[in-house]
Amino acid sequence: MGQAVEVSCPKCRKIFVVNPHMLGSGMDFHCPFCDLYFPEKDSPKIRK
Amino acid sequence: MPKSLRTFLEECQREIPNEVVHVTKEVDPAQYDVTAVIKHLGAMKKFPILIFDRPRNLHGRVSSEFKLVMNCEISQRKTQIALGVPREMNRTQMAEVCLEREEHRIPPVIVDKKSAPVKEVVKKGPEVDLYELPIMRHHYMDGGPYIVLSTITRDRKSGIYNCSYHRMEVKSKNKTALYASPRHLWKIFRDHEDNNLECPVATVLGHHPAYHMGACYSGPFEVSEFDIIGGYLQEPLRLTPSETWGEDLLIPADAEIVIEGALIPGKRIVEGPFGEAPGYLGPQRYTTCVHYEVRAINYRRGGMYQSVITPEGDKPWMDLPREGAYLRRCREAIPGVTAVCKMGRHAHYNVFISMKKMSEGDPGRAAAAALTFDHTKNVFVFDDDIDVYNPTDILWALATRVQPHQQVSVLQPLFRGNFLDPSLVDEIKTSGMIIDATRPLDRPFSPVSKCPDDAMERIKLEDYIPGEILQHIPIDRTTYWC
Repeated sequence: MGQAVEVSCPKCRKIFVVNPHMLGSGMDFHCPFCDLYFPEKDSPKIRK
Repeated sequence: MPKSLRTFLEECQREIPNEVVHVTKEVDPAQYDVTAVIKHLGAMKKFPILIFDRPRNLHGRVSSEFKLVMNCEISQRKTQIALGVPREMNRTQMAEVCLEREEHRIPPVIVDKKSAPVKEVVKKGPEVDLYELPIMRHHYMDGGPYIVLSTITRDRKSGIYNCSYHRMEVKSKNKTALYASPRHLWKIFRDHEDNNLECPVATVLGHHPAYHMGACYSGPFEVSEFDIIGGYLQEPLRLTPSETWGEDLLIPADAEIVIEGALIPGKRIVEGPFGEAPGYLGPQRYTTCVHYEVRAINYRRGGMYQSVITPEGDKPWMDLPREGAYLRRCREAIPGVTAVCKMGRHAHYNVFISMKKMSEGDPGRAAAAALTFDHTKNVFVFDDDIDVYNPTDILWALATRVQPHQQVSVLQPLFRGNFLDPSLVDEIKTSGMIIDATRPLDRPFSPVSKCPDDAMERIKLEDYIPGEILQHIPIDRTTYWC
């Protein structure tokens, strides 16, 4: 597995990168564009 | 007068006045204004010291208390001024000076708060507000505004001080998320955390470039970076008690701005992404991202806030100390090593070594020494006629002195890599490569074609092309790589 996972923000739909250890961790992701904190399940698209 | 960012700027104003530039137009560092100015200048290969006189703070208001200063550590001449060495000194000689300064350490001295300029203004408790500082957003997709200069911690058992660089994302007016890569600070914090203790911490947001260079020191845990910094400054670093921890955590008395507080045990915060030194975005993470509660801000009146960004091309010169560390290790293995280059955005992972080869196998030994240090991944070894700071020389040697099936060694993924390397396919282990681009000793090798040395010495250019014509011939930047 590579070091970057692409996550899409449910609010602004922009894509940012997270470390694979974030997946399944229970930690909310933080969108750097719109400042939204959201759980993994709310992301419309995650690409590994 | 003790050395500080102000004494350094005064010296630069005297020695290189054209390279100290005040920007009087209002800038918003949180909207990438400062990054854009620096990138535009970098594309022109210009790296002046920039003093932004009217930066906005994170509240969006023009800060009346602080200026923003950038690029103090970029360029050979500025680094020579910072180290107090002659302008004729080349980079390898400067790396050797760094080694000497690290060997001849100078312990710090403690001064009371009244004698410490950094205590001219102190804000504690509810007055603490990081948003009053002109903190930058550096790159597209950064998680937020980031503080990137060095942080001070102290080992609980030995009292040894550690200064190291750890990015931290500003989360609120008194909270940051500090990304602790698994080095000395992480060891100190984990020891506190295992005992359910807060870890005292402080971050220096502006000081003399020699301070920042000394904080780049990479050596045994038992060595206090304050002693190393004294060596770089060539005088004892003046320290004063912090507000939060008193004499249990001392902070630099002549710094521009110091924030201080505690790393909280048992808490992790999401942090990132952040554009990192290798030139890529380090992904968002949390496992080693620690809650840094800021409890006091100390600063000089007219405090100058500093930050660094990775410029296009070469890394800031403040990484020169690490190059000195490579030189030391490689020379311990093979005394004939003449230079080690670790410059450029590739600098975390590629190392270029030149040597006077005495035996086959010397390149492999020197490369092995380099592989023991830092995050070295690929090592290229050249003869000493190759300038390892010049990509033209490097590419020429690779093209003409290497038969890959004999001289390229690919190493299995045995080494701890760097989390910031986007090419990793394992979580942390990396493979590596050694390229021996030295000429063989056991058979003839075509000599380099050149003009004879005596002809070069005998022919004076000004005898053939007068100076008044020569000065108007434009420099051609298209014929070579650099």
